[in-house]
Amino acid sequence: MTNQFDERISSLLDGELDEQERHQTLTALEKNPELRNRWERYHLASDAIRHNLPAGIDTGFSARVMQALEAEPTVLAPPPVKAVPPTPITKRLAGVAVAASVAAVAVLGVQTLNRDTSLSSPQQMAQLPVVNMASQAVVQVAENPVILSQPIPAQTVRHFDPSLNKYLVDHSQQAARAGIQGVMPYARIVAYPAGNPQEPRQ
Amino acid sequence: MKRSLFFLAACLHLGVAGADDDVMAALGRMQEAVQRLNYQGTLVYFQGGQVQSMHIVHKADDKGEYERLVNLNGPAREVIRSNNVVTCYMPDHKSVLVGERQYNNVLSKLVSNDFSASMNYYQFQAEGLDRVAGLAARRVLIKPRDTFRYGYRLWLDRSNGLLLKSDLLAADGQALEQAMFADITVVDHIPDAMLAPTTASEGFAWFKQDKSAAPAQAEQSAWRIDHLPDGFAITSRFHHPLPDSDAPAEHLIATDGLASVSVYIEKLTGNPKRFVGGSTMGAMNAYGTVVDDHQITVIGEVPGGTVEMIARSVTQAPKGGKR
Repeated sequence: MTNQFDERISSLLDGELDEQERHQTLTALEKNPELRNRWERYHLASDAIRHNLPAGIDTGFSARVMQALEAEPTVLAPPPVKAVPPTPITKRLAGVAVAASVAAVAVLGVQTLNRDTSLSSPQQMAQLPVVNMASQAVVQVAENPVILSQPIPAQTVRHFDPSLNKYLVDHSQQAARAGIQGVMPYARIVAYPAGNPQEPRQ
Repeated sequence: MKRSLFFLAACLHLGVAGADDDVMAALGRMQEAVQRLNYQGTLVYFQGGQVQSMHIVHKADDKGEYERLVNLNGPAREVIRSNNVVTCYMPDHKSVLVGERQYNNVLSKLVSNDFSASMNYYQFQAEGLDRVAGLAARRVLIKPRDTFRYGYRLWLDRSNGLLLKSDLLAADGQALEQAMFADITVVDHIPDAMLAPTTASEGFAWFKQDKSAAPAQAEQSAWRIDHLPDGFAITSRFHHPLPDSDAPAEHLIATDGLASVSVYIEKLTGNPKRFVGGSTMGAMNAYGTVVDDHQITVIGEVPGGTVEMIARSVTQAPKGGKR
């Protein structure tokens, strides 16, 4: 059955089935989730072989989502909900919900590949309902930078020549009142990194 | 959002005349509050991936202004200001630096509480309300109009105008340096004991700027800066020694009203370490060159390109030069 079906799928993809065969195959797909998965994988593989994958498939996307999640400050993470211990039913429902969203991703993905190759930019992909969750996380990080969540390039610390500290201190002493910064110049004197790791001696 | 867009449009349309009087008034009030009020609090300071906190006390009375900052992390560095005299206790260097802030007419003019002169180089934008240190705050964005300077986002106490939080922003909006009061209390009176140094400084080396070193006359200087970014003007020019040397350095300060840059010119004697090229630490950028046996060091809270441009344009005036 499966081998036969593989052939069918292959033929369907190649547009080699007549009207009746196509109808049968699609009906089988509709009824049998296992076959539908198979169909989706074939479709992806077929597109990959033909280099038809739109740019929007964006293999780095999940990596970026993970990055965004890691960068997301903990304060933004929802507090753990532990009010009601999951009953078998809610467990099952949760399972269904997860499965449904996975299926939605798969189906939407296939639809994207299948019908709408114009949908190609990562932004457009991100507008798809399920993926949207991830893109919201990215936006949240960008629009609510909480203190400490900003990535700071490493060289901002490493490359400061300690012999410049005297200039930093003197400039901050002398130029403090020249600007809008209030107490900031003094804060810089107090806070510049200690030149030597052995040094906080007191 | 609509309002700020409108404001932006108004600014673009009317240029300088389109300033939001409200924002300018708030900034003026901030400068005044920062100088005139008695307050103490804890400031959290974030830069280069490091977070630190410091205690701040500020006192103002009929005799002047006093301030004390002490780091609550790591080496207990302490800055105490009594009017123009700024004393820095550096336990990690076993030294105390005493500096006297120099003023002249140009500088005191720029130190006024009026920022309208800066509007040619920055856009000022109200960004609505927020909350910092448990207090309602107005948020103000100051965006540079070119790449020679950084931007600022300031949070001002809605009731008394004090600066509660300050972000220094790169061109891409990234915060290079953030400082925020975690708590702040305005009080009627600050006892003198709260302004006394807590650092035990026995055995520390003291470096005092020689008061008698008179500010250099402009015509005495053999040096000149050929390229200052638009809007920057030299406000001070004087000679004073830096902590680790006896020979006075020539020191020029340029400011655009918000940011400032120092240019140090020191005669190289013997074989000291030379500093050539750029260096950066959060908001502060420095650039060094060597010209005619002199070390030129430019440092300020401006982008690297700005200090580099200034440093590369420092030249000896023809009559004194060997060039």
